[in-house]
Amino acid sequence: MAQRSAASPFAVLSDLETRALAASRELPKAHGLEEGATRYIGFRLGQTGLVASMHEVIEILPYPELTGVPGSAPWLRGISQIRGRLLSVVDLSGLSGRAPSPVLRTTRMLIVKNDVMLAGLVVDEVFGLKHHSSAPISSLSHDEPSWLPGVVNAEVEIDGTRWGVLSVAGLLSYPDFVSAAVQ
Amino acid sequence: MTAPESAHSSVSARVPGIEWGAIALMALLVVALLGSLAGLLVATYGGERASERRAHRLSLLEEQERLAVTLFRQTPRALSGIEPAFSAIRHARDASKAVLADLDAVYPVSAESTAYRALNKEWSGLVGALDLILSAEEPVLGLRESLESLVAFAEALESQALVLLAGAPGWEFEPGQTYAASNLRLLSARLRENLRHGLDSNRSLADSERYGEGAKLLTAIGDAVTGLSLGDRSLGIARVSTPSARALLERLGGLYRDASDVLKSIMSNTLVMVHVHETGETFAVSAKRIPVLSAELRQITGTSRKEKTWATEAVRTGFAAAAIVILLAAAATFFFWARARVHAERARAEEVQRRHRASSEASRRNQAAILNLLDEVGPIGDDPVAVEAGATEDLTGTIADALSHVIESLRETLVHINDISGEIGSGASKTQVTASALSTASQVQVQRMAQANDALHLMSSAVARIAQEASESSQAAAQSVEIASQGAKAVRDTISGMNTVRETLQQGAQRLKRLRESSREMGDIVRFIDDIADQTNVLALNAVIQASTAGDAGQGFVTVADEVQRLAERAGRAAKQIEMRLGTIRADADEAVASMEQATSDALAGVRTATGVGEALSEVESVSGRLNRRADVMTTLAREQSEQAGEIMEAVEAIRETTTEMGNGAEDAARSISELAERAQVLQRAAKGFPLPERDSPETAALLQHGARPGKAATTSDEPSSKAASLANLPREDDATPADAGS
Repeated sequence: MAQRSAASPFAVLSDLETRALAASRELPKAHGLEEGATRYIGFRLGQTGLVASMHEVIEILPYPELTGVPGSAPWLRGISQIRGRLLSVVDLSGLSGRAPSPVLRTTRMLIVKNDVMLAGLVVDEVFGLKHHSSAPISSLSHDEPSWLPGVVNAEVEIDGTRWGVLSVAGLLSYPDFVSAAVQ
Repeated sequence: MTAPESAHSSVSARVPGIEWGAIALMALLVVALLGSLAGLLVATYGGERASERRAHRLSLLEEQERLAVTLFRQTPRALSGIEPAFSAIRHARDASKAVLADLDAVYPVSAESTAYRALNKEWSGLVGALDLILSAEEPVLGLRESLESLVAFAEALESQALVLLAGAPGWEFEPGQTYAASNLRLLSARLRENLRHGLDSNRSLADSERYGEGAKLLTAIGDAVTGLSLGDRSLGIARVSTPSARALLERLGGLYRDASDVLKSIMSNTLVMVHVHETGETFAVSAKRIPVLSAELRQITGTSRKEKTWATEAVRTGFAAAAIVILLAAAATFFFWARARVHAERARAEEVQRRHRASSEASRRNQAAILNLLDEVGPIGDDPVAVEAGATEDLTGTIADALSHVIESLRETLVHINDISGEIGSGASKTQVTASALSTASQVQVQRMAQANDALHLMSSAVARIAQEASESSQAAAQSVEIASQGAKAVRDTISGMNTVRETLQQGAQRLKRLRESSREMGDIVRFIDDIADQTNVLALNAVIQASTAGDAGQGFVTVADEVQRLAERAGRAAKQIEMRLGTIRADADEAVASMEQATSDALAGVRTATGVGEALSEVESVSGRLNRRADVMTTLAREQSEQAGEIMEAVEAIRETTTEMGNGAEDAARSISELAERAQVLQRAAKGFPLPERDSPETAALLQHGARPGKAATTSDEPSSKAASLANLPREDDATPADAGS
């Protein structure tokens, strides 16, 4: 009591905070999250697992309502309006020369951007966050020729699975991607 | 006058000699009479002795016949193993041996011996067969005992099979087992019936066919027991596993083994029985012949009896006739003696007359008339009816007249007697023929009646057997009614059980459908949860992205949002797993519902089949009921018939007795009539002692009339000429008399 009376009210409050902090549960820490680790968002395109850097993804949304664009390439699904902004929705699988993605319950749209434009990418499923500490593993291994050059050119290994790294910047600057009109 | 006087003197001189001679003759005659009477007595007594012996013989034959009938009846009973029959046969055999010995003693070599030898031979064969049958007493009785014990085994088998079939709580039979158990019960019942038939009193025990069938049934029973206790896959019988049922089955198996041992021993004894049975059959044939032979012999004996009676009667008649003749001779002798005495008296009177020479003419004439009359009447001893006394005017005229009258009426009476006795003789012989025919006919009738009685006996026993068979078939029908109703009940139980199963199945199917419905709803909810998890996932991701744009300040939020996203991901995965499981559950439920519906339709088909079986069983029940009623009616009819046969037998017996009495009466009548005929003959013979004219020829009839008329004329004096002739004869007769006397 003497101690308490002796101490100033501020000291009492800071002591209380210290003790509360000591007793409180810590905020959950990211598992395996190391300093300088890169966060990816994992998704699936057909049978292929891919990741995209979280910085390049603005939002993830369910498959939206679309307005078809006449005279456009088949992989351009249409144009959608998200919170007052227009964006073109692109079927990435169709763009890379594969079968177009079906629209299912798990189908999602990733909204990506670069400095000039916003785009919606249709993916078959989104897996969530993937963390990778080291730099992306060099070049793509051997037989992935069907992917657009410069769009998927690296791989990472997370939890024993190899994921292709989608370069959003590369995709958005890909010549075919920009000219969506039917040629 | 000299001639008569000399005659008188010679008469008087002869008188003592004649008297002594006559007395000696009479004494001789008395002796002869006594002798003939003694002969008559002896003949009568001897006849009675002979008839007693014949009666003895006849009674022996009847006894023998009775024994043959007894043996004939008892032998089949003995062969079917009835113990009292053996002692009856033994008794009858001993009795028949005694009777045979007696018959040997009373049947000497005679005309009857041929028939008797045939009878004796038949009897000897019969006694040999009887010895064989009696020697088989022990095996036969043993066989019957074995058969009875076998019947007891069959009954025990049946009752155990019933217990097995009735079951107990905790026993559950499969259909194959139920079939085998009920089959076991039916087989045991059939075996029992089969063997019990073998115990009937009129059946021989040597029925190997019946035992063969019994052995077959027993083998089938053994198969059923073995199948139930060990299981038989080829028959679809599973092994019975309930302990109490197994104990029952072991008991059944033990019974089966004991019964088959007994049956084996019976079948090994059957060969002996067949031999005995054949002997019994040949025995029955010869036993049937005995009464016929015996009846023949009896008839022969009866006939000879009649002949012998005739002979005896003839002897007796001869003796009686001799006695009568002697009596007549005695009378004649007495008459001679009396005449001699009269002659002597007369001679003595003449001597007195000669000595006094003062006799008057009247008295001399009187004397002469008396002498004349005596001379005329003299031949009366030899021929009374030929004498005619002259009616003179003498003192003796009236006497002679009266004497004539008497002689006349005597002659008439004799003629009458002769006539009447002849008529009596012919009438009696006719009646005797009729009576003998009647007696023979009644004997034949008695034999026929005996045959009819035997036939009726056979018929009565056949009818009794029919009645027995009918009542047995009635029992069998009643049993089949019972079994059919039991079967119908089992079928009804089955149907209701199947209906219960069907309802349960339907309820189960409904519950399963509800369950599937609930799981579908659950699936909806889970999908909803999954959606929420998905949205949460996306929201968390977006939160991570937004927070990371906030730089280091949003770092903590990034971690939280990341955690939220992971949770949402896991929730989604769990929801998907739940959904998958629910899908499996739904598929399983669908399958279960389908199989339950299949089972329900199977149960319906089973119910339909069982209903058909039930209808067939109730049909069987009604048919068996009809059979039962028919058999009852048959039994009643056969019993009535049997009673009627008994009444007929009594009536026939009564008729036989009456006929026997009638025959005896006819025999008596014949005997009496023959006696009457003999008497008539005797009378006739006695009358023939008097020389009457033959009454058969017309001449004699005329002579008789002519002879009768002079007497009548003499009395009524119608013809004086004849009276004059007789008067004219008188002196000549008087003259002739001394000459006669002198000669």
